Amino acid sequence: MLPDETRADTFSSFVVDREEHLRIALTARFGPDLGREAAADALAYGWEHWDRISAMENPAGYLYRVGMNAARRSRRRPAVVMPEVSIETPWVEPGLPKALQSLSPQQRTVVALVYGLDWTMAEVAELLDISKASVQKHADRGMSRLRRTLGVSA
Amino acid sequence: MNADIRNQIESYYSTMIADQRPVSPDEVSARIRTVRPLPGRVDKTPRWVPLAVAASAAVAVIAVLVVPLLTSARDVTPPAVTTTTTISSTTTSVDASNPYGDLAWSRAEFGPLETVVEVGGTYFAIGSPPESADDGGPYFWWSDDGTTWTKDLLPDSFAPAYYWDDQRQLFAVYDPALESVEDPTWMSLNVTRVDGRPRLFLQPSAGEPSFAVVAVLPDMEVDGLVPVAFSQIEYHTADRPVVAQVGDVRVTTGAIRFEMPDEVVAQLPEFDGFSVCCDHADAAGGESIEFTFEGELRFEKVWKVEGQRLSVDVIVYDSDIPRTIHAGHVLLPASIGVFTTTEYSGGGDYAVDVMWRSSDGGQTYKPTQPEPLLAIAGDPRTFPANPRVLTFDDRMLWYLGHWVGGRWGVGVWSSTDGLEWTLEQSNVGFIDSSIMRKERVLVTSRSDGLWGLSVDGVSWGVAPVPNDSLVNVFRDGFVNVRRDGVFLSSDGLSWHRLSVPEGLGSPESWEALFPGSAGYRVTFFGSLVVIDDFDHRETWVAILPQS
Repeated sequence: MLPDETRADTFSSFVVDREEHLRIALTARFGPDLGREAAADALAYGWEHWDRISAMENPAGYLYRVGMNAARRSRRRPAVVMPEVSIETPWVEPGLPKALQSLSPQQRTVVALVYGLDWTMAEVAELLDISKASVQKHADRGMSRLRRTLGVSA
Repeated sequence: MNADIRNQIESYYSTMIADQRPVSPDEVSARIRTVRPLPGRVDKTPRWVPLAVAASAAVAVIAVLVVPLLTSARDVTPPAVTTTTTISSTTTSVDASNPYGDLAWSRAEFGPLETVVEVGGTYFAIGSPPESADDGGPYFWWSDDGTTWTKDLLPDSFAPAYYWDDQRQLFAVYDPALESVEDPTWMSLNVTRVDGRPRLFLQPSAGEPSFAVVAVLPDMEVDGLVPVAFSQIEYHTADRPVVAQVGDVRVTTGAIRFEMPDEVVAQLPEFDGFSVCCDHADAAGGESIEFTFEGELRFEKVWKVEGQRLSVDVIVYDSDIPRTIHAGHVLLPASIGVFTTTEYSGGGDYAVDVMWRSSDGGQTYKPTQPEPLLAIAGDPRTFPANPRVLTFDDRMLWYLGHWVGGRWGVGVWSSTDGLEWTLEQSNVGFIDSSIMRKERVLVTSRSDGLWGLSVDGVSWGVAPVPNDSLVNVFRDGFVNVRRDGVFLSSDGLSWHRLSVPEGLGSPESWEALFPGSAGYRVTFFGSLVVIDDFDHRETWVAILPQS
């Protein structure tokens, strides 16, 4: 078991370093409300099990899955809802949120992180705990489907 | 236009994230689960430095505020061994939500469990990750009455089993792969005991005959889940045939939509040897589909679920990941593995034993060996290989991570009928990726820095491919991006070096390489490079700005 001080330090450092990534990734998957809730759930779980999780090779990836499960588990929560286009970005196609919502969760997550938030393939692969090839596959398929849904050609 | 979509996505998400607050410690505190703290716990709040605090300030805050608070919280966290949190369970009928018709189900509020056993009048429940004890070991819950439970560490030499009350099998099931199960489900199966040896069955991970039953809720998200429920079954001893009474049996299977090719608009389940069953789902609009079909189910029958294009009734997709479902077997979500590999999010150990097979139309049965895929045990998140079935002419090969000498390697099983499997080789290599297939060449990258190559799945050679290289297998060949260049191969054995124009830098700095309609594309440093690699002409077609 970790000494209390070490536990506190390492968890604090982890949150400072990775909270944003974790929250953004879950937001990309579930939308801003559910995604943020899931991130909080994951961090709570992380704190409770930090002795074990801190020893993992990829704690953020593990907690991403914890958050993903938490969001799915909760039947009280609404389904994934992508917010409407902000009035601050009138150039964005209004149908984009609905098109994003039609993607599979994994496709939506990857498309959002890679194309929406400029994460590298490696960063996405690490947090989602999948290979870079899988990231590429989901990105390609997601973009392909988006283009089809929005009626634009590649 | 493509770039325009990307810009729009970027604007959309950037705005969304900019409006979002970081998760605060208070929000996390509110979510601390109540299963672990002792009564009277005064502070379970984790604290950390707000992201907005400057680094220098962060150090000071951590030192002055955070550590003491965390330490305070830890001071009142119950030691693992002496935790005595009591959970009072209330058993209520959930017939209204029972997806299995006439089966009597009841549910008790409970901590996460895998299996409950009864030893000398005391019930035990095995905990499983991620709800392990603080020291990482497993815990269990015990109860004298099956209602009030106490948590404790798992003693040594403890074997999971179940509870038999001379009338029914009772056991609590918690499968972390069933993502929406917050409470385990007490299940009561109306099973007739005919041989005086009830504990030979309904016992996960036991010898033959045995099976496990998975409980699901109707509104649960399932990824490739195949829960099977029997309304009534008679069992005989292991040396006599097993006879399944005729009765309604409901089987539900699901598949994750997103892994299918876009052309697939529906999946149709069918019985092999039975009339095509009964239900289909239009998967065009959803990410997952689910079937429920009822009918007479015999053990020996094999079910198949195939993707089909409804309009032309032509099979456009038939996964090489096992889609064959053996009736009478109970498959856990990850075990059926239809499309679960990237979406699997459960944890903990599980095991499924396959019971019986018949080669004479169901007249006689004999115990069958566990199918390779179904014999998985361990945390699938740690599997280095995704289980796959590859068909070669008249036989199938089944691959998955296999525990060899304390490490996960690749096991290769062969079968001609999908029912009986022979372990051909268990130490193909210790790998860190799935086996890929290119025509008749099977390829896997190995953790020793080599490629494993095979044309039959049984005999494997190796090719020297540095572990730090980016290797992809595409329809028309292999691409290996290495520090010292880009290499192409059509068979995985002989390689052709592709000269890289000056100015593109070392290939190791490339972010990705993937196939496109005009050849391979490389992304790096904000540019998109198109390589016309067909026929190995080494022509760099264009360097396009990636706007």
